[in-house]
Amino acid sequence: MALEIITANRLGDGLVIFLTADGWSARIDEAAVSESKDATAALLARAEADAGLVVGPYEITVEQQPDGSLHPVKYREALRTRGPSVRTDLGYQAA
Amino acid sequence: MYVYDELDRGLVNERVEEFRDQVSRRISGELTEEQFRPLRLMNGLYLQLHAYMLRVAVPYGVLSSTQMRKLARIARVYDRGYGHFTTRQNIQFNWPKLEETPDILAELAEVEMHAIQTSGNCIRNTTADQFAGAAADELEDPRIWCEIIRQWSTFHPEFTFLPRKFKIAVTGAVSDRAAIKVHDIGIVLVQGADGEVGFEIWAGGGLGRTPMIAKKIRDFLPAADLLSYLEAMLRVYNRFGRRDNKYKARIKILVHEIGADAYRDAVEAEWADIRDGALALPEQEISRIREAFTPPAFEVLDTASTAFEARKFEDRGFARWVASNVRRHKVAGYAIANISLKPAGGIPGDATAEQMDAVADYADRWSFGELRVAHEQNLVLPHVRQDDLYDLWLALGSVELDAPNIGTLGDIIACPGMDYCSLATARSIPIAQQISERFADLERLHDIGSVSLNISGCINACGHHHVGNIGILGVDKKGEEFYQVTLGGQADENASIGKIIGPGFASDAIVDAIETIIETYLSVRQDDESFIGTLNRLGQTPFKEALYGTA
Amino acid sequence: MALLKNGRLIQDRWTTVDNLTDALKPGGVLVPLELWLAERDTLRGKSAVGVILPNDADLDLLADDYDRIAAIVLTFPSMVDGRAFSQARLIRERFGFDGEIRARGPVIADQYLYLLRCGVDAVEVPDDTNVESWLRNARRFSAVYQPAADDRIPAYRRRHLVAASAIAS
Repeated sequence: MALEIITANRLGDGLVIFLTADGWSARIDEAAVSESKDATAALLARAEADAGLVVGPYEITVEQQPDGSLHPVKYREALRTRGPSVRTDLGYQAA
Repeated sequence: MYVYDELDRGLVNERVEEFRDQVSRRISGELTEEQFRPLRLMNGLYLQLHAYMLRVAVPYGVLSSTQMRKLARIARVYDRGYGHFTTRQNIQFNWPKLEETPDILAELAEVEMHAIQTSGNCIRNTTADQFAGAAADELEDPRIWCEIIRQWSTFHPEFTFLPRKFKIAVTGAVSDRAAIKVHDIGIVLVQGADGEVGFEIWAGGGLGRTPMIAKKIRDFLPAADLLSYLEAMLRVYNRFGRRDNKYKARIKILVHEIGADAYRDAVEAEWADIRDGALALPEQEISRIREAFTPPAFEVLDTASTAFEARKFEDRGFARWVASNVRRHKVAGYAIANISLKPAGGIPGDATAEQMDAVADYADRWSFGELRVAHEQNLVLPHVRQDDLYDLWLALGSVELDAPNIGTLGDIIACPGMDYCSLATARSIPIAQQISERFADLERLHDIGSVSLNISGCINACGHHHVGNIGILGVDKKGEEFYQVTLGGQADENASIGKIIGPGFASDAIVDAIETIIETYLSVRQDDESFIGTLNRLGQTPFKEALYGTA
Repeated sequence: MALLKNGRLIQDRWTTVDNLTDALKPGGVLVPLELWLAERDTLRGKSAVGVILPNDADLDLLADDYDRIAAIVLTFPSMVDGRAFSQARLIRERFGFDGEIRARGPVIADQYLYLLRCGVDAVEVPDDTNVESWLRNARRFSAVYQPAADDRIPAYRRRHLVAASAIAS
């Protein structure tokens, strides 16, 4: 199976975050990776238990690069890790 | 402009406190996201791709300079220094924090603004002709009736949980600049047999997945009956509109499925029961609101200004800006100045906080402190003396707001698309940027003349692609952005839905395809025929052949 | 479930039943519309009967019954399905019903004002409901912009009443 991770938006400021082994992070590379349906379901259940902190968790498919970094397969999700393509001074890409 | 009285002010302040309470109950866990979502949407707060987005209402597109300065301040203090003007004459901020939103709303309330009902399945901001009160072809100022509708529709207890969103547009002019035939309800001010002003009522128009032109429901509605008739129209929709499928829940589907006649009969039957009830507006209230829209103190001027004519003669750039951006005013010696938010290569509808502040200053200096937002995502100074246009133009140039391209191919309507929107299936803004750059040459742009090009990043059609002379719809095709082209759409009094010309184009081919369409038009047009004129005369064939060959 | 009525959380004394035998037992009963329509001659003799209306029900079906029914239950399948708001107003304003109109379904405190304004006077709520939250919402707005099934005077009249009374006094 393709690799999956869980993403959501943070309740307080709406920014994109990813479920990690022990919480949430704005950095996709820190995401907890699932390699099976069951593992994805377990991660999603953990994410949904955080409904007081995050909004709308869902799974996305990623590819792992040789250096260990994670890249979303879908362009929409890649945009979420960066920011608007037309304003590279905004969002995570600006940092 | 309408000025709040104590009742209006109280309500807007109380709404801020209500939302503050709702936000804290969401954060404390008393409200679930499922419960909170419809509440935040009814205060204009979306969750988008990267962050929250706050849509602030600009009632019927009218802003004072004070309000514009407040928007600039909000952009600066709570957001990232800019805002995006929308096709519903509103403004969106793309990076607000949930916790700060009540403070933003409190600041807006200080200048009689709010985000009430800018989203959600309720009656949205009523839109109007952006030239209202200034247009030379106007029967009466539609803002009077828009304000009456705004109040009636605000916190309407019966119509806050409709099957779907509900949009009303009003025009008082011969030329329809408010696109009333693609609205859930379209209202046209007309003169009755005895010369009194009343309304022609249309219903069931809309874009989205199933674009439809509205049907005429009534030829003439007496002015005093406006609210009872709207209430009857909404009640029939609330009770009988579909709720089993959100894509079939708009009133256009109800009107289409039962037929305009059956819908009309149901409305008229409902109306018969309530028309003489409490909704009949007192004459004093109509007068009170009409007074709020008393024209400003215009000077008595000559129709033609020699200084203005001389400036146009001396300065070609100014003459070009006047030709494309300035419209006739109903008062001699005045003009309507459109400010394009579409610089070549820019993001359609975006303005920086500095630009907002500058435009507010120009409004104070040259337009009685009044501003408008057009549904084409531009700004308007509605009342400028012809003699002041040159100074205005120079000033606009100093803040890069002097693009002379209103109504041309450079004046592209585009939704935020996948760069911001969580519903989008493709990006819209980069396509708009590439097209406006490709046609940046002003000689060529003005030779092409009047043509509307609208881009939506998904089937929901916020970019109004169906009613662009040229429409572009971005879709996702196996993970790639792909663009379908429609030709022949119109949003004015001759409203029509564009037709798909053929197979779509990849993102690296769409700009060439648009250029091919334009070159084809230039090669076959007669005299000064517009793009839509040529298309209506010849049909799609020459364009199809140029795009796809004659096979 | 408890009942929020007249600003207080009270015990619900009505029982929802789905057959005639149970409906004829002593005490207040709430019956489905179909049962009422099938057995209304029998049920009319009973003093405390309420009818549960689906939110797409034709209100004319009860045209001759509104003065014989003690309560009407309006159905909210979800908090965002607002058909029953229209039903409530019509039942109050067109049919002149003056018994209890109660809301059943997952409506929330933030909708209480709208319910009250449309003529709903009782809401079925969980026993642990924060009543203060509901009451705060009911009192929140100092003015209304439109007439409804309550007696609040819309702003467009209130403004001129004030002016007229100021002139008169």
